Amino acid sequence: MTRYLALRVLSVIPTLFGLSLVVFGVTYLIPGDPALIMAGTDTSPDAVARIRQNWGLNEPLYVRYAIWLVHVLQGNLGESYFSRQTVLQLVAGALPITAELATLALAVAVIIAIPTGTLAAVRAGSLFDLGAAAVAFVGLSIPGFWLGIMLIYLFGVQWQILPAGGFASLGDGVLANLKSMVLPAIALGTFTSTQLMRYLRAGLLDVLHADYIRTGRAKGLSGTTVLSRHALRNALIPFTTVLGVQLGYLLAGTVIIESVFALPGMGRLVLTAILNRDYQVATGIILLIGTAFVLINLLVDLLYPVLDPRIRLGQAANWR
Amino acid sequence: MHDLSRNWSLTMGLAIVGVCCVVAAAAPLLSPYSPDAQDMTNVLRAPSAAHPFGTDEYGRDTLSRIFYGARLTLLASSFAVVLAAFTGCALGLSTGYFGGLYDTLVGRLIDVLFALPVILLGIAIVAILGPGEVSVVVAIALASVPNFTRVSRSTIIPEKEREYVVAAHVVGAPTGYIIVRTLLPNLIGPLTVLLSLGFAYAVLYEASLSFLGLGARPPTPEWGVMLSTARDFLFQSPWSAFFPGVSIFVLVFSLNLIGDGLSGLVDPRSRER
Repeated sequence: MTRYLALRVLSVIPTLFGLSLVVFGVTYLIPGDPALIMAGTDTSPDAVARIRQNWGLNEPLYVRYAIWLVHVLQGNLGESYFSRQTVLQLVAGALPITAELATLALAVAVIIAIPTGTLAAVRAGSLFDLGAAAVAFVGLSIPGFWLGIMLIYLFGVQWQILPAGGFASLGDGVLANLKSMVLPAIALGTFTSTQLMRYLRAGLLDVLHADYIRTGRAKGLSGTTVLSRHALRNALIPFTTVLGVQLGYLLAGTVIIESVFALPGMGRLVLTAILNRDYQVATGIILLIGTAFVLINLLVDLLYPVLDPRIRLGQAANWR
Repeated sequence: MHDLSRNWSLTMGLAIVGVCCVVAAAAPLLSPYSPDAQDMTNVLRAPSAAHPFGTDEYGRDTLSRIFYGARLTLLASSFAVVLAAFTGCALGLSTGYFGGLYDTLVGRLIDVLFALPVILLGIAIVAILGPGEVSVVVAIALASVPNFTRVSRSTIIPEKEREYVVAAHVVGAPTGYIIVRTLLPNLIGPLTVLLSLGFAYAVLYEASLSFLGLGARPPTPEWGVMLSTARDFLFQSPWSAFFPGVSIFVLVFSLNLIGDGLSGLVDPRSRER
């Protein structure tokens, strides 16, 4: 078990190394003089020469990569040539907004998925199950940015009960903050809720046919007890791992949703950076989000033995 | 009963996609106006007899632009998916067959590609190639390769030890023949499902990347671009945002229907659900 955990943690290192190679490759392949790109508006020969020296831009490729990697590991991802703020400073300002959006979207997805997935599994084949499957299918096919725009039109333009865009921080009041985040969270969380609902339904259907469930019912336990104490606990294990993976996809989805709702998060930051050719900010954020993705997947893998004692104890017994 | 419903979704999906393909191919014949014809006396109009889907901020007919937009979306998505399928299957077949260090290295590359969502890949590709449909196609292809590689590899690994493959070795068949003629046919079932689902994602991503300004740019008639500009005129004309979005939804929905129908044919176990 410990060996499995150690190996799983170590396996992340080559992936992160590969990610660093890919991102460095992107910085290398960007057309133009990298020193001038980094210097931006301040293109005095001294400034450009300093940048070449600091980042080893005249060195062979592998030396340049090594210098870049050392900078990255020290937290130096470069700076914006507009604002002269470092990438980490810009990320620190934008990350709380993206984190709040991703968390709220995941909450929306879970709140929709758990009751509908559970009921669909318990009433498999019924009208509710077919209806839920149809709605999930529709939700899977709706573009998130279009859903966002339609929500803005309905709630922001037509009924005017929620803001049409923009961000209200917690300093402006919790209610104002939630009002500015509810539509983006729904637009972002809808696709994830359909995935979660389908996984939970499939997992519960597997579990509900197990012998121990039949035993529980035979012992006289109520349907609710069997469901909540036995069936859901087992079905929620694979559900939780899917939840973790979906969180990674939600982080990526924030790029689109923040653009639709004009939220000043990391997604909008990286998009603005690439459209304005602020390449260090763009590649720095790509590296950070990619790393977060890998670490989230690692966390999900490490969580699995914690949630499922059968994995932790190394038993492959058939529980059916 | 389930076979009927699977056939229903496959038939329905194919019919809708077929209509989209016909509309895209015959756009010059079906469109009532040129997609670029401006009429500044008729900007942001609601649907009417003259303009069934209304007009945009330059008075251009939205219905005509949607017909022409289908071309770009279908072409770009098909290129991306076919490129991903070809590359992914080649990698999956070869790594599954040969294994060893090659398999390990490619596996790591696939892990890295999995770590980069398509939007970020799109941004990275745009940094190198600049915005445009080529960048979008490359980004979607790169994002889709891992799925094709993993499915191909996992299908091939149990098959390469089977008797018919050993027999092919014994009679002296070259490696290329064994991979292409003996092992590749095993992929047809899973590949058709992956292709249709991959196509659905490709349409969604193509529209998303163009919406963000990384793909097609105005005044190109493309559904994502149309949505991006329509967002600024939501107060005056919600119709400009409604119809492009519905078009994307209908195409993605029908592709998902095809994928769902095909997965039922390929994997009978899914019928029990």
